[in-house]
Amino acid sequence: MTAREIPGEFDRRVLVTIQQLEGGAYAPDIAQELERDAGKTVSRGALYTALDRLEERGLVRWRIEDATEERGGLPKRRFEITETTVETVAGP
Amino acid sequence: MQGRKTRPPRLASALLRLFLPEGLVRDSILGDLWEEHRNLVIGSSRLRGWLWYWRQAIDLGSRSAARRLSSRRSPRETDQRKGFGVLLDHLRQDLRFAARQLLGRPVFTLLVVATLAIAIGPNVAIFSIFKAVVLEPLPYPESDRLVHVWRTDVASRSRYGLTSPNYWDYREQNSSFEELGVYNPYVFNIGDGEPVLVSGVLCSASLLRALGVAPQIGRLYTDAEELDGSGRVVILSHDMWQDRYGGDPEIIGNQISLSGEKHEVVGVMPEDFVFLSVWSRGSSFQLWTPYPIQGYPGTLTRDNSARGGSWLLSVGRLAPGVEWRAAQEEMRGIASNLAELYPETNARTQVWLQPFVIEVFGSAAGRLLLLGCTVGFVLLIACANVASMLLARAAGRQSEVAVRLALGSAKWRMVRQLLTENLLLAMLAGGTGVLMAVWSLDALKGLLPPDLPRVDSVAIDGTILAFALALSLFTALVFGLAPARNAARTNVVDALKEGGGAKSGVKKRNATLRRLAIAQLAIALMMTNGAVFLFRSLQNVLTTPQIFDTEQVLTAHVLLAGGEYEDPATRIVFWEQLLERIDAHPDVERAAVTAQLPLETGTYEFYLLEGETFDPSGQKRGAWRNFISPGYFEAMGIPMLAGRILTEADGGEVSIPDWRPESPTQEWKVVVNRAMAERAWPGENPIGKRLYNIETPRRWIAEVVGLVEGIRQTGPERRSTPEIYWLYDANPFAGAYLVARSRVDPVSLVETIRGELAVLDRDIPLSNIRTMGTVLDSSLRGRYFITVLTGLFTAIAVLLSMAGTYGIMSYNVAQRTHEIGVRGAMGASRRSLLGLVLRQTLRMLLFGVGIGLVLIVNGTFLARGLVYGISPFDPFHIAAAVGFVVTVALLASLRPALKATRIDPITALRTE
Repeated sequence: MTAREIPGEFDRRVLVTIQQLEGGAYAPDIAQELERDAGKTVSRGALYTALDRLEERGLVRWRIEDATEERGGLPKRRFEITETTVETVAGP
Repeated sequence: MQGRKTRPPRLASALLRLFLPEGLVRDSILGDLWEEHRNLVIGSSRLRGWLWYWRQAIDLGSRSAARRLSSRRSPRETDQRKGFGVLLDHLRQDLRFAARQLLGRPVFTLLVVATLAIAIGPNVAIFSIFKAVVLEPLPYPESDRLVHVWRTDVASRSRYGLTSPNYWDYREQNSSFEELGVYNPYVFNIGDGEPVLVSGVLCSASLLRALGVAPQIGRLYTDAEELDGSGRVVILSHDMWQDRYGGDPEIIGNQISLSGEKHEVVGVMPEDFVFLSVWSRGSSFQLWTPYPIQGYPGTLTRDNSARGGSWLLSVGRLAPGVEWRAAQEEMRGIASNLAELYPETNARTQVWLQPFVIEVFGSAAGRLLLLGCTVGFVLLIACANVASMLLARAAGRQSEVAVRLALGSAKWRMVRQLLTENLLLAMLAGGTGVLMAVWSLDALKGLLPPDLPRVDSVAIDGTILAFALALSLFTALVFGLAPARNAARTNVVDALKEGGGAKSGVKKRNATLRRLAIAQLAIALMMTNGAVFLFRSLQNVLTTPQIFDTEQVLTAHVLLAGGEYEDPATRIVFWEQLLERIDAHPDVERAAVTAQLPLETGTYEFYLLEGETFDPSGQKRGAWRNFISPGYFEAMGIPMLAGRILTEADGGEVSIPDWRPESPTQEWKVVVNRAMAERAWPGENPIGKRLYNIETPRRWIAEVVGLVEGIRQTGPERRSTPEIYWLYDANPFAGAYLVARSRVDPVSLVETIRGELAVLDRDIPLSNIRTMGTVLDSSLRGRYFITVLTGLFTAIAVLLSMAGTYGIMSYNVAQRTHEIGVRGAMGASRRSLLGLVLRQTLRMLLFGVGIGLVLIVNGTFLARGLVYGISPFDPFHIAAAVGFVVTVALLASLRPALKATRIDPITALRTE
């Protein structure tokens, strides 16, 4: 793994949180965990950008879950880490 | 309800939809945000949820936009696109920097935001009214094809409704209209259950087709039902169907009682259907039913003898592709033919078409535009004010700017930073302004005159928010222009040199500041002048003697229609009995019946004097007519000037509408008002004079037995015009007003009167109960509305320009500290120092007042119709306005001037 591929501080935290929330985490849960850990609010913009970035690098993947009424009938994405991620998160 | 409350802000989610790439990812993000917003709203508050959502939407939206711009690229475009991405990045930086700058000076920020918000708020509020009342499309399909058809006189600009036979001729002979219909607002007693009086509309079947309305359930009635009288039918409004009949769909086909007559319900109008009438404006109509086949209030007769009575309002739908002027040409052609055929009645009859939208909204639009101008001026003053504040602050930041420039910061980047700050300020002010508008909207709605249509739908919606946004952007542009120009002109070397070196920049800035102050003073003067004239006019209207008694008189509407009341004789007897019973009450001084109340117009008739013969092509003599019981003048408090009041013995045998050619000429006694006597018999005693109906055969002769003072029939600020009073028996209107003069508080009579009415007939409701004071008040609502709001907005404008003058003069004195110190050291007296500063204010005032006067002279047309009892150029009142503005400006600069006199020469010289 080259230096460029090592995720930044925030991305690492996201990965760790996803791993902790086993069985598939979705963004509001991840955000809540991150906020609890950091003790400050996390911008959803930053979170979704990080999730996109991690997906592009093959570090996370997601599956779609059915829509519910509390979400205005919109679908839900559950994130989980991929096999390669474990090494990455464990870090060099 | 829960679902609506927890739904995220529409505009924000629409923006997100726009900025996020379409697909599952977008939908899931929207879903996440929806859920989080919902939890916040339930767990905390709607406001917190709203704020949170907007913050996330802006953040997410701008990130996504930046990413999309930098990722969607062809190799060649990369640099450019990157450039744009960089630009967005810069924008974020700028915004962050601007926010820090503004937060670093909270007082300054608060002042600017408050100044702008206090001006943006009223603009948003007035616009929301304007939008709901005027801009919303008419609630009818292809409404641009709808026109109103009026009858006019060839020589005068007066307009009347159509007469029934003429309507049939126009309808059958024209080819311009797809449908042409007629209507009249009318009232009905709804008899089943608690008796109530409701507003409804008598209209031809063709009118409803012309409007293009389709009932929600049931059907419209047909031409046949209207004409052959086979069945009395009615269409209900959605509200009435819900409120009175519980929304029961089985209502179709059922009979309901309208003024004592069974009518079959054939349809229910859709919920959003609004019937916009030019008479009884602002009423909410509850039912539509055809004109009766016989009796009151009138029939759609083809009888030529009815060509004289104009009473039908007419609306038509033009055939596709026909322009309304072309239709008017055709209709005028038909009118000319009719004039040849029926010269007696139609010789001077002309047709006049008016697009429906102008007819319905024209006057409201005019009044609201006037208010729109007023709030627009407040905004301009606020902009000038904020521009001055920014300029003065720029002076303080001059060296900071110069240092940044010297360190290599690009000038355009500096200007952009400044613009971003302005934008942020304007957005904050816009948001606050919208909140102010939301809070003030209910109070404002309460002030609206009752004849304004569609007031219920006034609300802050997406369009209004977009308007507020555009207004804020515009504001930022206006107030930011001078400061940005000033910054762009900054010369590094000059600015870095302290003191004397920066003089050229300072001079330019000071000149701009002075111009801004002059502009504020000029606008403030114009508005003050407007407010002075409006308040003076209101005072003039209020002190105009109305002749009738406004304190002790109670009035109420009583409708005697249907069943036994179809016979006019029954109505006459009913009123005699009712008045007798009410008169017997010890608290009642006198009771009477009248077909029409003062100030609320009425019906008009033409007449001939003794020795005159009718010339169809000549100007006709006309007068208002009213039908009263003998006690009317006493009950209403109208003074008798000569002769006597009417008595029961003054009537003819046959009432005016019942007269037939085989009846003999009827002799009536009448009372006329002062204006009538002066017009018809100038300088003569009117008592004993005679009047005749214009057409042959001679239907009536009326002998004048009394003369009364004239009331104002068409409004409290209109002249009293000729009026003829007949006995109620001459034309026993089904709908008439009870008038009772009380010895005690008139409102306390209501139950007594209701009781007496119920003794005679418990199915007749007493409605529209008002004192004459209330009648006067409601006729003044439109004027109150304009005057109070103009006064309020002018007060804001004057306060703002006072603050502006104060700010500029303070800044000026601060800048001239050194010079003033030197003068002090040279022995200038306190008085001359005071004069030094005040003279500068006076110089600004001179220009401000000059420009203001030019604006006043050119702006009077705006409020011409509203100035009453005073010339719009009355020098005394203009002088008062000028005096007020001059005083305010001098007061505002007094503190800075006094400060100048207290400058200690030694300290002043040392600081330099």
